[in-house]
Amino acid sequence: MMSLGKLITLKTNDNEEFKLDKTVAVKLEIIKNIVQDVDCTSNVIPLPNIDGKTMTKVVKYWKKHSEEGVTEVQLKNFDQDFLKMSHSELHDVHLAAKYLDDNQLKEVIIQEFLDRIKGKPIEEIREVFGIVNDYTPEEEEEVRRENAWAFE
Amino acid sequence: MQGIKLKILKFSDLVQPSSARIVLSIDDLLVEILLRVPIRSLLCFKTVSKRWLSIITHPHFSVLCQPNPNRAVGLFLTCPYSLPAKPQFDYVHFDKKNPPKPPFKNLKFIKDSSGISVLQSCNGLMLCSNSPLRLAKTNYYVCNPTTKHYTALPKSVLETENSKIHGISLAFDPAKSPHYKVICVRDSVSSPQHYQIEIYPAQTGPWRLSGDPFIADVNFSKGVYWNGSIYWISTSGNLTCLYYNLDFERLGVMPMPHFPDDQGTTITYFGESCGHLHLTKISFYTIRFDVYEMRRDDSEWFVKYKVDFERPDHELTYCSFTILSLVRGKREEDAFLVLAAVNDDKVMKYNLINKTFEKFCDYDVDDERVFNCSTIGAFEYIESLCCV
Repeated sequence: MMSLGKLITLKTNDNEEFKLDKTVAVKLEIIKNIVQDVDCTSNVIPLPNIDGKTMTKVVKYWKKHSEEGVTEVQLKNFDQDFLKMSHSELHDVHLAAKYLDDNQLKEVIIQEFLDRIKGKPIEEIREVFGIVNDYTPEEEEEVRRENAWAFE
Repeated sequence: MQGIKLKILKFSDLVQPSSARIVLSIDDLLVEILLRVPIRSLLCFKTVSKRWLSIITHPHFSVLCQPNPNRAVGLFLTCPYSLPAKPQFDYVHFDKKNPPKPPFKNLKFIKDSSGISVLQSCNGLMLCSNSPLRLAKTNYYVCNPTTKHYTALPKSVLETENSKIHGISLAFDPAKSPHYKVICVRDSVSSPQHYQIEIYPAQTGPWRLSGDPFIADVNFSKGVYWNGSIYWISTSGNLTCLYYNLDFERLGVMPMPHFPDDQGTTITYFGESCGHLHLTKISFYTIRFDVYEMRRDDSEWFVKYKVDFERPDHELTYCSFTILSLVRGKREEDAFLVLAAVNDDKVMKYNLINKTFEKFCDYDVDDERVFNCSTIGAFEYIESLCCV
């Protein structure tokens, strides 16, 4: 096993390297498993499903959330700012969080999507998800009629 | 079934450090988001796009988004003075803060030449029938009142034998299976004076006989589904309880609690909520009674609630009422009775833990005589996207 305070390196699929303090990284199940398997800091941990741009965001989130003495308010403000990204970027971060088995980050992303669609008219929801309406007006009316009572 | 890609997410699918590639579809995130959206909003979201429609109507999704246990959010009451040919329903929503529009006032969305009545509500689905003219055969339907989807049950071959139907019950538990079953108790064709059980598994069909002809003295028109069995009780004389287990296709007799002898007319409440089976027997003008609950292993009844309406701190005292429903929730303190109070023309909520009364205030009855009738049909409304 590695000693405390050492750095481990995560390497994304576009060959970007992220050096992380082990105490930050091993909080994640997947990294912990690999670290135990590999048992060596010289080895670089490959992340074949994550690109550098996304990993930059994930690492930024991890670092802030493992900062010593950081307050609830600071984290809340950080999260608010952190989540100011496009739909597809949010999606990429969610995929990364999922691969890294970071449930906290996953929940934050899902909650952000829920906040973005809550109480919004259907047209705005389509915008949030970048969806093109593929119903004909007749088809849409039919679906709407069938569920009319829910539209109150 | 729509040809969409819907992965049921499993921990092992997501975290496999050694596997080189994990392919995740874009739908995975969408499914996770939609699983956290209230069912009523999901109905609106069907109009976002065809892909959203196919996810929301997918049988797997409908089961995943059903909380377990799934508590009733409201109660449908039959209007006793509506014509049998045109049954109407009142709706009481349990959350008084935001009473939504009732899911339905009648069941006209079921296409039938005569009016549709509800026979039973079971974990999000409802068993319904038409009111046919004399000599015509009754049509039976299973519907989902949330999605307004329904299916007509096929006719049994015994229909031609003039074997009378005594009761028909729905068995549906999405936590166990997305497919419902229907149990029909009818006159035995082979043994006079005997009953016979016929079963219809929706997944495979058709109707088939189950078990031998038997004799019993219970009311087959009010079956209750609980813990894998349909239960029927006698509504007059000594309380007896018969059950039919759907997994083993076997009949059994359930022990009954001992109720004190009383001379007055009694009414009984027998129902299921959130996986709990409840029974109580009340004399008219009683103000104290015990509500029994059956143990999960079918072994015995125990007193779950001791109810006493005569307490000095009550503003209201009811001595003439009907129990329409007993609703349980995730927490013990969520348990309440829905009462129709005869003198007050009100539908009341009585919290069984706090022992407080509350009026369902946003509920107006057009016809005050409604609550003089002790036989109001009351059917729990449980939100569900499950397919029929």
